[in-house]
Amino acid sequence: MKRIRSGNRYLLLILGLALVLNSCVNLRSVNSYSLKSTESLKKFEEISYSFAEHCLDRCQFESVQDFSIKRTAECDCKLYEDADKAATTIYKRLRGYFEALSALTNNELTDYSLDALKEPLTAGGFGSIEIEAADVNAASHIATILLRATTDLYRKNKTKTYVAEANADIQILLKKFNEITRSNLSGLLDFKKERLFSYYRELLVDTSLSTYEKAQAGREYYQELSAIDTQQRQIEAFARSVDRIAKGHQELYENRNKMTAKEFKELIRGYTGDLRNIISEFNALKR
Amino acid sequence: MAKLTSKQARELAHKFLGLGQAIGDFRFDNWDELTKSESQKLASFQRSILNSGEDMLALSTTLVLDDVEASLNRIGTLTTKVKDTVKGLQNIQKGIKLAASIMTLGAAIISKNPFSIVEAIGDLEKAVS
Repeated sequence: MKRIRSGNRYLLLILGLALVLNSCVNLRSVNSYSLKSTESLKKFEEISYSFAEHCLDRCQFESVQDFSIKRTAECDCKLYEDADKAATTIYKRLRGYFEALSALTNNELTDYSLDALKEPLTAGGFGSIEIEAADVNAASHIATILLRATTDLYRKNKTKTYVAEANADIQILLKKFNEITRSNLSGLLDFKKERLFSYYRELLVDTSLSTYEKAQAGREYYQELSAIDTQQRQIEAFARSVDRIAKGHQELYENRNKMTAKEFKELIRGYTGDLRNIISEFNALKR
Repeated sequence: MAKLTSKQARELAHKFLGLGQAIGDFRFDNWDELTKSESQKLASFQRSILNSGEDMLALSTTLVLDDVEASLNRIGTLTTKVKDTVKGLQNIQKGIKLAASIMTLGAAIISKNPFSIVEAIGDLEKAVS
């Protein structure tokens, strides 16, 4: 009867454990970063403004300004709807990538169980070979650890390859996504501000309005301005998170061969922490 | 004629905003000197300029797709590759279950117990499906 020697068993166990701990910890920081990046990107769906919404706003504002109301608002917003579609296309592609990266770097992915193999081995003998239950348990334990170590190493190498392959395009997409939100979407709100400014300024010089009505108009103007400022701050917070995701991915790419280094983990943890703070800031602006 | 780029459209939009603001300022700074008709004409002019600027921003956004088409495609392909790798790793657990079923069947055949063999075949079928 063949048996595994106790000394070898423990040596393998220690080696396997060291391998597992090493690979788990490194992928964990990449996993936290990609999870937070996904969470941050998803905030795009919570931004309380869109291109089409702006077009409708403008159309209704002009209608009211001209004292012409219709049964249904007749607004041609095709261009603005296309702008929303373009932004959504980029958003979905980015989200898909970060979700896939999160899945690949999730340690639970290689949390295999060899219990199923233990049963037929301990149930009885294989012809002339007899296997003791204690040996089966030990061998299964070691095999689980080694399997984990091997697959974790495989995941780490794959992560490195994919990050390297994706980086240039991810940087382009994140930069463009940032321009769309920070410059274009928030830019539309600057136009809205100007439109309101002209509208209320005209009310203030209108001689047919009383002093009280003018004061009331002034108050309304500042309330609307404040609401727009909040929307712009929300968009700005989102755009900053996109910046951090891009910088984090760049660091990941540049240091992909140093995934074991403590500084690497600290660096990535820094970006993850920044994203966490920006998410809180964004959520606070929703209230 | 060369096609407008996303960046150019955005820059134009900012210029339109500045122009709209300047017209508005001129109109209110000279409110008392302007006739009603002149003031209305300027207001209408300002509105058109602001509308064009906003349209430029929306256009700039749609034009971004031209700039990123290749990147979008490459990231799409890469994401599929990452997902396939994840699927492959998930299949290892399925493989372990399959190997266990084959081992059980082997042991049943060695034991020459017909009931165990039938049961093991049933388990193997489940593992394969």
